[in-house]
Amino acid sequence: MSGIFAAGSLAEYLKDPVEGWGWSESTAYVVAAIVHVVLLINVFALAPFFFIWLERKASGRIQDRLGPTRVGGKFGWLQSLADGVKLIQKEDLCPPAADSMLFRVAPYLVCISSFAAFVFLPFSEGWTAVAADVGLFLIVAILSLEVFGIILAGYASASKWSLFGGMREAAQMVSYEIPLAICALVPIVTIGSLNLSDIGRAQSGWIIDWMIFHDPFTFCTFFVYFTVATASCKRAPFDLAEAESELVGGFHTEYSGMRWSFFFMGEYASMFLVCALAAILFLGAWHTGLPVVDDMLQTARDAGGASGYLANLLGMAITIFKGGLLVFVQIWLRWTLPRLRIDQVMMTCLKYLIPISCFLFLGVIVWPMLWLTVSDAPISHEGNTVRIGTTRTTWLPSALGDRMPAGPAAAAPAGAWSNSDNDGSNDSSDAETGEPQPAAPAEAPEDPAVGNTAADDPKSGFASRRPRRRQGGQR
Amino acid sequence: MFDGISGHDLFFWAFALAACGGAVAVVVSQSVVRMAFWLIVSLGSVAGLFFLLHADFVGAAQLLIYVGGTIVLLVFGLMLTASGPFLKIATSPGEGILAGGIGLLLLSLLVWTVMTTQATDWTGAPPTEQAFDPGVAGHTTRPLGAALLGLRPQPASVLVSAPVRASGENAQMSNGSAIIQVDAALRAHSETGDRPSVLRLYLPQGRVSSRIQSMDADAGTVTVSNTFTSIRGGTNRFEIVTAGNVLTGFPRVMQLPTGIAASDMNKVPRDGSAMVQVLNNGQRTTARITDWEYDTDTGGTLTVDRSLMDTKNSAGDGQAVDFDIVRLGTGYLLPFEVVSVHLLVVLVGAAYLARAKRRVTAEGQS
Amino acid sequence: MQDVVTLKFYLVVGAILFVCGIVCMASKRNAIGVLMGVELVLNAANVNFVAFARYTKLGLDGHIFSLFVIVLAAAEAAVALAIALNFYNNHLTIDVDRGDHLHG
Repeated sequence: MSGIFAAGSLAEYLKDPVEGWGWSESTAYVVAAIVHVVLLINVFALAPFFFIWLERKASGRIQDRLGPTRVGGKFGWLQSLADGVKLIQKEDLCPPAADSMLFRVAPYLVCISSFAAFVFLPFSEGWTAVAADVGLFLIVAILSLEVFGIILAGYASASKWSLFGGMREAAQMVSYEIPLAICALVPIVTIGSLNLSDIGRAQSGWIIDWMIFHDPFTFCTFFVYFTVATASCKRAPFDLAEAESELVGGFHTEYSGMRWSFFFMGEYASMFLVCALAAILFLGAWHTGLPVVDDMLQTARDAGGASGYLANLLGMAITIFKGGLLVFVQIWLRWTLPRLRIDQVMMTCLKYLIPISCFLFLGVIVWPMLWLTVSDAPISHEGNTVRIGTTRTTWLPSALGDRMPAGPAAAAPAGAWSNSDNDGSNDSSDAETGEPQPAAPAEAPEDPAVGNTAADDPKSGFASRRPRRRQGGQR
Repeated sequence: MFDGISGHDLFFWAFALAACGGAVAVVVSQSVVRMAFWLIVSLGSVAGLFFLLHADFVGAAQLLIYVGGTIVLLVFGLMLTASGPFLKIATSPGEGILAGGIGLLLLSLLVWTVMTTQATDWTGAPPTEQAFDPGVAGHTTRPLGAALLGLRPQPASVLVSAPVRASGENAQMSNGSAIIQVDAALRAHSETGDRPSVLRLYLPQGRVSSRIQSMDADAGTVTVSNTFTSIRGGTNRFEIVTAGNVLTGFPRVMQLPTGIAASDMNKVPRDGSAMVQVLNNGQRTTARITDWEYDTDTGGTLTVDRSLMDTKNSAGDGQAVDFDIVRLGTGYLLPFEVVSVHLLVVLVGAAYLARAKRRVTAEGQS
Repeated sequence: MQDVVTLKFYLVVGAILFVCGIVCMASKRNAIGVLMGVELVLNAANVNFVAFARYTKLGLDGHIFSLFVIVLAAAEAAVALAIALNFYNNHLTIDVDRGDHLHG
């Protein structure tokens, strides 16, 4: 088995009769899965624990009051624990007219989909439960399953408020998946991989190498993505579900005790997930943005052993810090902005955010073409990646031809680089291959040294950042 | 704990029981919202089956589009047409039994067909080598994307393959190791010039290749540069091929080894209608051939339209890779475009059909 | 240890899903229930395609077929749902047995 079920190298290690413990394959996979689940449950449970406290404190300060100050010291650190204990000891109610099976299952659906998406999130170099090649696609797919929990909760509660709130909420979540996916496509198109570990690795180097600073379109995409992620997590100002003044409680009106808290664990965990995803896609993942520090960490990682572990731990702390910072911004937004009406929410999505995200997606695709026509920046190549000045991209359109540095490239044909993997041209209709290249002949005898400046930079490029492949980690 | 059952089997039984159980529950449920719930369970388990079958992209698409889109659509439709809470429009028991009986009959027919059909191809011969490629397993995104844009090899159209220098039937390795026992065939092999070789293994699940780091003719072992995982051990057929060398980035040129027959090489067109498939450290990369020049004794070069080095594996120039040159088919560009237009039309049409209209009241007057 | 599960197991799963879908289509009176049967049938076909892609020479083409099936199933569900909504608006019921105005 490979791919999704590899569960990282832990299962391979357990299976290996020579270096590992030589267990049978099914035992190894099950145990590896349990270990990863236990590790991720900590993230899934501690994220709401911390962020609920943060929300109460931040909202208190914004409203010129203190927030929780009693439980666990002066700052109320253990307030979430007290809340949890209170909720656990509450009576498990189920309205008599409700469809009891669906009523009980709905919170689990929300939690399951929110938790399952954490499985594909890389916290650091190689620290991901399942390093799937379609990781980002899978996270978006699994987040889209949360809608069912909402709908079933709204329907199964047998109450008007729940049904209205649930349907509104479901419509909102489903609509906002579209701009979410389009905005998530922007870094994919730039970097050329759906694998989140690759996307993280591609942002190594200076802070200017982070995807948010890659070009103006990705810069705008970050903010659009953040808005859309806030909406899809049902956070204010898009929080119709919790519109206590309108709908009593929305879809969770009839829920109390632990079942209610499952919804909110799911919500806060989703918030942290989409913010951590924004950090990985746009804000440089586990990189600090200072090559001095990053090089030290990379050396430690390559060395392996305890120092590698510590370097990865630091990377994970950085990712979580960045994600947490974005969650704090979401909390800040909630208590600053007034709530939108449902028609305003839907209009924002359908009339504004979808066209804007489509425009940004097109812009990101067109950006290398614009850059090529207006700049004389040196072009260098590392494997499949092209670096045009400081901009990195993975493909070049064929119509503009090759602007190769002279030298070893002189033997290459002057024909167009018809990169048919990435543009829509058909094999048989390659009209561009015959076109003369307007700029190329005039600029072909470039200074050979120009093309090497970026390649000389030891910190540049995806290639220099390959971690040593771990034994037994072969896919 | 679960000794004797492989991981694949364990997960297969889990997902298959969930899928079939969910499907039966859909049929048996009386409330249509419960049917929707069991349908979600069933289709989610089918996505799990897809992941087991190494179809990662299709599984993710199933979850996103089918479960997260189509069933949400159905549930919204349910909510809009529910005539009263929990109204159960039940089938009469007689009809239910009749439908069940016919269903069982159909099921027995299908299962009998599946069990008794022999796996042969259309010429009547059993399939000898599967197209399934561990180099692609789990990494189907790029080949799928390329196929949808028209870049797809014709089946069974290998024009040229890396020339075989030595072969045998007894390659043995253990899972996760890099040292492979080969038999006496190795002793007859000698490295030709400075072209590194590649070991090609024919495993039950397909063909895998790995660069040879060193060979020990006395001990009869070959040390390769990456470990093979997910293999079952045992003896396998192997070949030592003299590999092509790929250079990184520009120029996009692959050096061909000596030993390819001129008649084979002359079949390769220069107009971009053939492509080279390179198996490199477990990943398959393809590129269209735009030009080539070759001499059987001195080797030659192949010029391609994109770099054959995957971003993960830019280990430097001269990396030896196993390769095939295949003729390009037409790919799936036309169906892709047709389906895209179709989806747009459906979007507009469904929105128009479902627009709010005056509803007929209970008395039949509008 | 070798895999006991081979192609035929997956085909049997596909067969069971298919039959469940057919029975659902035949026996449900709710139009949306009939649509759910259609979804089951299409998924059975997808399981078959992907199983053949894995175990025979079909290869990646099986994956492409199932991607197209998924996309077209979504399109078809949208149109079928629009028709069902129209039916509901005209007859105030979603019971397909009531759609018998052309009967006899």
